[in-house]
Amino acid sequence: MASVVYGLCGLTALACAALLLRAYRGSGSALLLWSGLCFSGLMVSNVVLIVDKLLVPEVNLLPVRLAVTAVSMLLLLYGLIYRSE
Amino acid sequence: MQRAVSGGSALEPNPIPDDVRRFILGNALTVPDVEALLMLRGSGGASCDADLLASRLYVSRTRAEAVAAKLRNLGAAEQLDDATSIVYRPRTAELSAVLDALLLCYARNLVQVAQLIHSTESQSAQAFADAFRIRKET
Amino acid sequence: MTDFLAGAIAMASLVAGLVFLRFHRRTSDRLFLFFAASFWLDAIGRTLEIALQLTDDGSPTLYVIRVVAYGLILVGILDKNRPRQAR
Repeated sequence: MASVVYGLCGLTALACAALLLRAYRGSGSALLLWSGLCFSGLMVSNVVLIVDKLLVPEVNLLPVRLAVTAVSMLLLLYGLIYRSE
Repeated sequence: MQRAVSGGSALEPNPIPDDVRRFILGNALTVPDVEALLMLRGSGGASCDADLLASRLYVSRTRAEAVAAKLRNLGAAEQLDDATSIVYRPRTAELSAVLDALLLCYARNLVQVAQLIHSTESQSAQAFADAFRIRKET
Repeated sequence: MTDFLAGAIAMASLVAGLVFLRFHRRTSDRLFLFFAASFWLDAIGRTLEIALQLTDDGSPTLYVIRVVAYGLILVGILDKNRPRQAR
Protein backbone atom coordinates (compact mmCIF):
# COMPACT_ATOMS: atom_id res chain seq x y z
CA MET A 1 0.00 0.00 0.00
CA ALA A 2 2.73 2.43 0.94
CA SER A 3 4.56 1.53 -2.22
CA VAL A 4 1.51 2.31 -4.30
CA VAL A 5 1.39 5.73 -2.74
CA TYR A 6 5.10 6.29 -3.23
CA GLY A 7 4.55 5.23 -6.81
CA LEU A 8 1.95 7.97 -7.13
CA CYS A 9 4.45 10.43 -5.69
CA GLY A 10 6.88 9.33 -8.37
CA LEU A 11 4.23 9.79 -11.02
CA THR A 12 3.51 13.28 -9.75
CA ALA A 13 7.19 14.12 -10.02
CA LEU A 14 7.24 12.61 -13.49
CA ALA A 15 4.24 14.69 -14.54
CA CYS A 16 5.91 17.87 -13.30
CA ALA A 17 9.13 16.97 -15.09
CA ALA A 18 7.29 16.20 -18.31
CA LEU A 19 5.29 19.44 -18.24
CA LEU A 20 8.33 21.56 -17.45
CA LEU A 21 10.62 19.98 -20.01
CA ARG A 22 7.95 20.12 -22.69
CA ALA A 23 7.43 23.80 -21.97
CA TYR A 24 11.19 24.29 -22.03
CA ARG A 25 11.30 22.92 -25.54
CA GLY A 26 8.65 25.43 -26.49
CA SER A 27 9.90 28.55 -24.80
CA GLY A 28 13.54 27.98 -23.89
CA SER A 29 13.38 29.56 -20.45
CA ALA A 30 16.32 28.04 -18.55
CA LEU A 31 14.38 27.84 -15.31
CA LEU A 32 12.13 25.25 -16.91
CA LEU A 33 15.07 23.06 -17.84
CA TRP A 34 16.61 23.01 -14.38
CA SER A 35 13.36 22.56 -12.51
CA GLY A 36 12.39 19.87 -15.00
CA LEU A 37 15.65 18.06 -14.30
CA CYS A 38 15.01 18.42 -10.57
CA PHE A 39 11.64 16.74 -10.80
CA SER A 40 13.13 14.02 -13.00
CA GLY A 41 15.59 13.37 -10.21
CA LEU A 42 12.85 13.39 -7.60
CA MET A 43 11.02 10.80 -9.65
CA VAL A 44 14.15 8.64 -9.72
CA SER A 45 14.44 9.08 -5.98
CA ASN A 46 10.89 7.82 -5.52
CA VAL A 47 11.62 4.85 -7.77
CA VAL A 48 14.68 4.03 -5.69
CA LEU A 49 12.45 4.28 -2.61
CA ILE A 50 10.09 1.68 -4.04
CA VAL A 51 12.99 -0.55 -5.06
CA ASP A 52 14.40 -0.11 -1.59
CA LYS A 53 11.21 -1.21 0.09
CA LEU A 54 10.02 -3.90 -2.27
CA LEU A 55 12.90 -5.38 -4.21
CA VAL A 56 15.91 -5.18 -1.96
CA PRO A 57 14.60 -4.85 1.58
CA GLU A 58 17.83 -6.29 2.93
CA VAL A 59 19.88 -3.49 1.43
CA ASN A 60 19.46 0.04 2.70
CA LEU A 61 19.29 2.39 -0.25
CA LEU A 62 18.69 5.45 1.89
CA PRO A 63 22.08 7.02 1.12
CA VAL A 64 21.44 6.57 -2.60
CA ARG A 65 17.98 8.10 -2.32
CA LEU A 66 19.25 11.05 -0.36
CA ALA A 67 22.11 11.63 -2.76
CA VAL A 68 19.78 11.67 -5.76
CA THR A 69 17.37 14.00 -3.98
CA ALA A 70 20.17 16.29 -2.87
CA VAL A 71 21.53 16.62 -6.40
CA SER A 72 18.00 17.25 -7.70
CA MET A 73 17.48 20.03 -5.17
CA LEU A 74 20.80 21.55 -6.17
CA LEU A 75 19.66 21.66 -9.77
CA LEU A 76 16.39 23.26 -8.70
CA LEU A 77 18.09 25.92 -6.61
CA TYR A 78 20.51 26.67 -9.41
CA GLY A 79 17.58 27.25 -11.74
CA LEU A 80 15.46 29.22 -9.27
CA ILE A 81 18.21 31.49 -8.04
CA TYR A 82 20.74 31.79 -10.82
CA ARG A 83 18.81 31.21 -14.02
CA SER A 84 15.49 32.89 -13.38
CA GLU A 85 16.49 36.11 -15.13
CA MET B 1 -6.94 62.09 -13.31
CA GLN B 2 -3.42 60.84 -13.81
CA ARG B 3 -1.43 61.07 -10.59
CA ALA B 4 2.04 61.64 -11.91
CA VAL B 5 3.92 60.95 -8.69
CA SER B 6 7.60 60.89 -9.39
CA GLY B 7 9.35 57.82 -8.02
CA GLY B 8 12.82 58.46 -9.37
CA SER B 9 15.79 60.50 -8.30
CA ALA B 10 16.17 64.15 -9.21
CA LEU B 11 18.61 63.25 -11.97
CA GLU B 12 16.27 60.77 -13.62
CA PRO B 13 12.66 61.90 -13.46
CA ASN B 14 10.52 58.81 -13.53
CA PRO B 15 7.94 59.17 -16.24
CA ILE B 16 5.96 56.15 -15.07
CA PRO B 17 3.38 57.07 -12.44
CA ASP B 18 3.31 54.87 -9.37
CA ASP B 19 -0.20 53.58 -9.97
CA VAL B 20 0.72 52.51 -13.49
CA ARG B 21 3.90 50.88 -12.21
CA ARG B 22 1.94 48.98 -9.57
CA PHE B 23 -0.64 47.95 -12.14
CA ILE B 24 1.99 46.59 -14.50
CA LEU B 25 3.98 44.75 -11.86
CA GLY B 26 1.02 43.59 -9.80
CA ASN B 27 -0.65 42.04 -12.81
CA ALA B 28 2.55 40.84 -14.44
CA LEU B 29 1.64 42.54 -17.69
CA THR B 30 3.70 41.63 -20.69
CA VAL B 31 4.30 43.62 -23.84
CA PRO B 32 1.65 41.67 -25.80
CA ASP B 33 -0.85 42.36 -23.00
CA VAL B 34 -0.27 46.11 -23.24
CA GLU B 35 -0.24 46.08 -27.04
CA ALA B 36 -3.54 44.18 -27.00
CA LEU B 37 -5.08 46.76 -24.67
CA LEU B 38 -3.88 49.52 -26.97
CA MET B 39 -5.31 47.76 -29.96
CA LEU B 40 -8.65 47.01 -28.34
CA ARG B 41 -9.13 50.51 -27.02
CA GLY B 42 -8.12 52.04 -30.30
CA SER B 43 -10.57 49.93 -32.28
CA GLY B 44 -13.46 52.06 -31.06
CA GLY B 45 -15.59 49.33 -29.54
CA ALA B 46 -15.00 46.78 -32.26
CA SER B 47 -14.35 43.24 -31.12
CA CYS B 48 -11.24 41.22 -31.77
CA ASP B 49 -10.98 37.51 -31.98
CA ALA B 50 -7.93 35.44 -31.09
CA ASP B 51 -6.73 35.13 -34.70
CA LEU B 52 -6.77 38.88 -35.18
CA LEU B 53 -4.92 39.40 -31.92
CA ALA B 54 -2.38 36.78 -32.90
CA SER B 55 -1.65 38.39 -36.23
CA ARG B 56 -1.48 41.95 -34.91
CA LEU B 57 0.59 41.09 -31.85
CA TYR B 58 2.90 38.72 -33.72
CA VAL B 59 2.29 35.91 -31.25
CA SER B 60 0.94 32.40 -31.60
CA ARG B 61 -2.79 31.83 -31.45
CA THR B 62 -2.39 30.03 -28.12
CA ARG B 63 -0.58 33.00 -26.71
CA ALA B 64 -3.22 35.34 -28.10
CA GLU B 65 -5.93 33.33 -26.36
CA ALA B 66 -3.95 33.55 -23.12
CA VAL B 67 -3.66 37.31 -23.53
CA ALA B 68 -7.40 37.58 -24.15
CA ALA B 69 -8.11 35.49 -21.06
CA LYS B 70 -5.78 37.63 -18.99
CA LEU B 71 -7.48 40.84 -20.10
CA ARG B 72 -10.86 39.31 -19.29
CA ASN B 73 -9.58 38.29 -15.85
CA LEU B 74 -8.31 41.80 -15.23
CA GLY B 75 -11.73 43.19 -16.02
CA ALA B 76 -10.39 45.25 -18.90
CA ALA B 77 -12.17 43.34 -21.60
CA GLU B 78 -15.30 41.33 -21.94
CA GLN B 79 -16.05 38.24 -23.90
CA LEU B 80 -18.77 38.45 -26.50
CA ASP B 81 -21.27 35.70 -27.15
CA ASP B 82 -18.99 34.41 -29.84
CA ALA B 83 -16.61 32.73 -27.41
CA THR B 84 -13.37 33.76 -29.04
CA SER B 85 -13.95 37.49 -29.36
CA ILE B 86 -13.35 40.17 -26.80
CA VAL B 87 -14.11 43.85 -26.68
CA TYR B 88 -12.55 46.66 -24.64
CA ARG B 89 -14.81 47.25 -21.67
CA PRO B 90 -13.18 48.15 -18.34
CA ARG B 91 -15.32 46.97 -15.47
CA THR B 92 -14.89 50.01 -13.22
CA ALA B 93 -14.18 53.69 -13.71
CA GLU B 94 -11.06 53.28 -11.60
CA LEU B 95 -9.73 50.55 -13.84
CA SER B 96 -10.55 52.61 -16.89
CA ALA B 97 -8.52 55.49 -15.48
CA VAL B 98 -5.51 53.31 -14.74
CA LEU B 99 -5.68 51.78 -18.20
CA ASP B 100 -5.86 55.22 -19.80
CA ALA B 101 -2.83 56.30 -17.78
CA LEU B 102 -1.00 53.10 -18.70
CA LEU B 103 -1.67 53.44 -22.42
CA LEU B 104 -0.75 57.12 -22.42
CA CYS B 105 2.47 56.30 -20.62
CA TYR B 106 3.21 53.46 -22.99
CA ALA B 107 2.65 55.67 -26.01
CA ARG B 108 4.96 58.35 -24.66
CA ASN B 109 7.62 56.29 -22.89
CA LEU B 110 7.76 53.01 -24.74
CA VAL B 111 11.32 52.21 -23.76
CA GLN B 112 10.86 52.81 -20.03
CA VAL B 113 7.64 50.82 -19.85
CA ALA B 114 9.19 47.95 -21.80
CA GLN B 115 12.19 48.04 -19.48
CA LEU B 116 9.91 47.91 -16.48
CA ILE B 117 8.10 44.94 -17.90
CA HIS B 118 11.28 43.04 -18.66
CA SER B 119 13.14 43.98 -15.51
CA THR B 120 11.28 41.70 -13.18
CA GLU B 121 11.61 37.98 -12.93
CA SER B 122 8.00 37.61 -13.84
CA GLN B 123 8.81 36.31 -17.30
CA SER B 124 10.51 33.11 -16.27
CA ALA B 125 8.26 32.70 -13.25
CA GLN B 126 5.28 33.09 -15.54
CA ALA B 127 6.82 30.57 -17.93
CA PHE B 128 7.11 28.11 -15.03
CA ALA B 129 3.47 28.59 -14.07
CA ASP B 130 2.33 28.43 -17.69
CA ALA B 131 4.10 25.11 -18.11
CA PHE B 132 1.44 23.57 -15.87
CA ARG B 133 -1.47 24.83 -17.88
CA ILE B 134 -2.76 21.70 -19.53
CA ARG B 135 -6.11 22.74 -20.84
CA LYS B 136 -6.74 25.72 -23.01
CA GLU B 137 -8.10 28.67 -21.09
CA THR B 138 -11.84 28.53 -21.70
CA MET C 1 26.48 11.29 6.09
CA THR C 2 22.80 10.60 5.63
CA ASP C 3 21.96 13.13 8.33
CA PHE C 4 24.06 15.68 6.49
CA LEU C 5 22.29 14.98 3.20
CA ALA C 6 18.88 15.08 4.85
CA GLY C 7 19.72 18.42 6.43
CA ALA C 8 21.01 19.79 3.16
CA ILE C 9 17.83 18.72 1.39
CA ALA C 10 15.67 20.24 4.12
CA MET C 11 17.50 23.54 3.79
CA ALA C 12 17.26 23.44 0.01
CA SER C 13 13.52 22.77 0.21
CA LEU C 14 13.12 25.68 2.57
CA VAL C 15 14.94 28.02 0.20
CA ALA C 16 13.05 26.71 -2.82
CA GLY C 17 9.80 27.45 -1.00
CA LEU C 18 10.98 31.00 -0.39
CA VAL C 19 11.74 31.53 -4.05
CA PHE C 20 8.36 30.13 -5.04
CA LEU C 21 6.78 32.58 -2.64
CA ARG C 22 8.64 35.41 -4.32
CA PHE C 23 7.42 34.17 -7.70
CA HIS C 24 3.91 34.29 -6.28
CA ARG C 25 4.39 37.92 -5.36
CA ARG C 26 5.56 38.69 -8.88
CA THR C 27 2.88 36.85 -10.76
CA SER C 28 -0.02 36.40 -8.33
CA ASP C 29 -0.23 32.85 -9.62
CA ARG C 30 -1.66 30.58 -6.96
CA LEU C 31 0.32 27.62 -8.27
CA PHE C 32 3.40 28.99 -6.53
CA LEU C 33 1.65 28.89 -3.17
CA PHE C 34 1.05 25.18 -3.64
CA PHE C 35 4.66 24.59 -4.59
CA ALA C 36 5.95 26.64 -1.67
CA ALA C 37 3.72 24.77 0.76
CA SER C 38 4.78 21.45 -0.71
CA PHE C 39 8.48 22.12 -0.40
CA TRP C 40 8.16 23.58 3.08
CA LEU C 41 6.22 20.54 4.19
CA ASP C 42 9.02 18.43 2.79
CA ALA C 43 11.52 20.46 4.79
CA ILE C 44 9.46 20.00 7.94
CA GLY C 45 9.20 16.27 7.34
CA ARG C 46 12.93 15.83 6.92
CA THR C 47 13.64 17.95 9.96
CA LEU C 48 11.27 15.88 12.06
CA GLU C 49 12.83 12.72 10.74
CA ILE C 50 16.21 13.77 12.05
CA ALA C 51 15.09 15.55 15.18
CA LEU C 52 12.93 12.68 16.35
CA GLN C 53 15.23 9.99 14.98
CA LEU C 54 12.39 8.51 12.98
CA THR C 55 12.75 6.31 9.96
CA ASP C 56 10.15 6.23 7.26
CA ASP C 57 9.63 2.57 7.91
CA GLY C 58 8.34 3.05 11.40
CA SER C 59 6.64 6.37 11.18
CA PRO C 60 3.25 6.99 9.66
CA THR C 61 3.76 10.70 10.29
CA LEU C 62 6.57 10.97 7.76
CA TYR C 63 4.56 8.98 5.28
CA VAL C 64 1.58 11.27 5.64
CA ILE C 65 3.75 14.35 5.32
CA ARG C 66 5.31 13.09 2.12
CA VAL C 67 1.92 12.17 0.66
CA VAL C 68 0.43 15.53 1.54
CA ALA C 69 3.47 17.35 0.15
CA TYR C 70 3.14 15.67 -3.23
CA GLY C 71 -0.62 15.94 -3.04
CA LEU C 72 -0.33 19.70 -2.72
CA ILE C 73 1.48 19.85 -6.04
CA LEU C 74 -1.24 17.76 -7.66
CA VAL C 75 -3.93 19.98 -6.18
CA GLY C 76 -2.06 23.02 -7.45
CA ILE C 77 -1.95 21.64 -10.96
CA LEU C 78 -5.63 20.71 -10.84
CA ASP C 79 -6.49 24.12 -9.48
CA LYS C 80 -4.63 25.73 -12.34
CA ASN C 81 -6.57 23.74 -14.88
CA ARG C 82 -10.05 24.13 -13.51
CA PRO C 83 -12.50 25.31 -16.11
CA ARG C 84 -13.17 28.97 -15.63
CA GLN C 85 -16.40 29.84 -13.93
CA ALA C 86 -18.89 31.70 -16.08
CA ARG C 87 -18.95 35.35 -15.09
